[in-house]
Amino acid sequence: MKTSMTCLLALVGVALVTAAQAAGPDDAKGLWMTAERDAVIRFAPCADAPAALCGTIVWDKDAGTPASTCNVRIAQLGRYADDAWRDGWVFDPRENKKYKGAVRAKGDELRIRAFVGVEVLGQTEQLQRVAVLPPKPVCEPGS
Amino acid sequence: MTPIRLVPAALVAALAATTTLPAHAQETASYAVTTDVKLTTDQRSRGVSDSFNRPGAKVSVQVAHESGLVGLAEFATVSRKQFLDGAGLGITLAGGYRFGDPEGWHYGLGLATELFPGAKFQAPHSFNMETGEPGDWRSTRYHSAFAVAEIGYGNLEARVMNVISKTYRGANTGGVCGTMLSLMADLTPALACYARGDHNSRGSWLFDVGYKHALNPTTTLHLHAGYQRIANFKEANFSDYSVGITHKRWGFLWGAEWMTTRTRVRELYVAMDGTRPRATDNSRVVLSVSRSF
Repeated sequence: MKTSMTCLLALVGVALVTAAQAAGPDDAKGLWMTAERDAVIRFAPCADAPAALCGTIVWDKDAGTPASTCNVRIAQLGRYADDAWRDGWVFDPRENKKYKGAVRAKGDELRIRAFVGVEVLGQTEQLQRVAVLPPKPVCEPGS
Repeated sequence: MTPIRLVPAALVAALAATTTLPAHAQETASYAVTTDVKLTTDQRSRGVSDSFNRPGAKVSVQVAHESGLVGLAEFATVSRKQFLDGAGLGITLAGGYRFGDPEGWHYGLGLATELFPGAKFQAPHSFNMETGEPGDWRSTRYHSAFAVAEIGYGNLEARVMNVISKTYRGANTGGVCGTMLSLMADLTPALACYARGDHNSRGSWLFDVGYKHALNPTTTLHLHAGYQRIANFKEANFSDYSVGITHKRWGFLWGAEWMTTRTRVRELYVAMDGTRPRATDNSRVVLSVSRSF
């Protein structure tokens, strides 16, 4: 009986740890560096729709040049379900393309999926969490 | 399945019109076109060189519609020493339907064809055991057509192709038994092949399993195993394996892949370089660089 109880407690403990590790809607919030380390995107509640999640470029290696994409909103996702932010769009400002989108966070990795129609017809970009922005160049507000 | 790179649905004029619009004001794309250009140190198919162990190039255009319909056109350089009398070009055309969850179970169904313009070979389809003379010389093209089914779970993907054309890359009695007759030192297997009668390879099966694992945001590990079972010609059955790595840098995708095969009759994968036979199924590391547009 004691052994069974120990096993049960262990299982509950594992379940709790697993639950604690499961992704939640807040996990996507924060600063994320692109794979090619050329931009940082801040994911946070949208200013104009607080229940939604918006992604905005807050650092660009080309900041201060004509190629700058500073302050461009590159994603807006309407709701969180099944471990992903869904029902929205993602936008590639360098190529001026907008697609349906989904965003998933797991630990220090963020995956942005851009697709047409159904999610299987798309491409995933993987980003890494960063604590602070690179010091230079700086994206000026409204630039 | 190669990941597609999304490209806008709009035409040039529409793009120009939307250039100044903020993202939220634009329509989401209803279809995507991806063009990939790839240079490689060896153009291989199922682990066997199509470019006579020499460098090659490939251009792929993929179209995906929001309905789930997908299309592919691929143009690759191939060796005229392997695809005789040809234009040195291999063309793959495919169309189908994909559905499911990319993070979970996902599926695909389609049809595909592989064309080698102008390429054909002459080979004997019979062998007279009494006179020791090959006969019934016929010309065969290398074209193939397939029914394709795909199933995947996350980054693990499997594909099955059934050959619906008369031959798979020209595998018939002339192509298989004739090659064995001309290249094998021991004629017994070739004569046994002829003794089975005149056959084609319709109904052959090609199996592939692949797995991708992201080592970091820019680097991915690729594992692949394949097996082909050629109808009526077990001599041409073989398996292939590869381990590769790709890395994104400077807008290009750089790749290194070790490929190997386990062929049963290696003479079937030998091509003549003048009078010198050269194997095309050797294990080797293949380097590549590609860019999506």
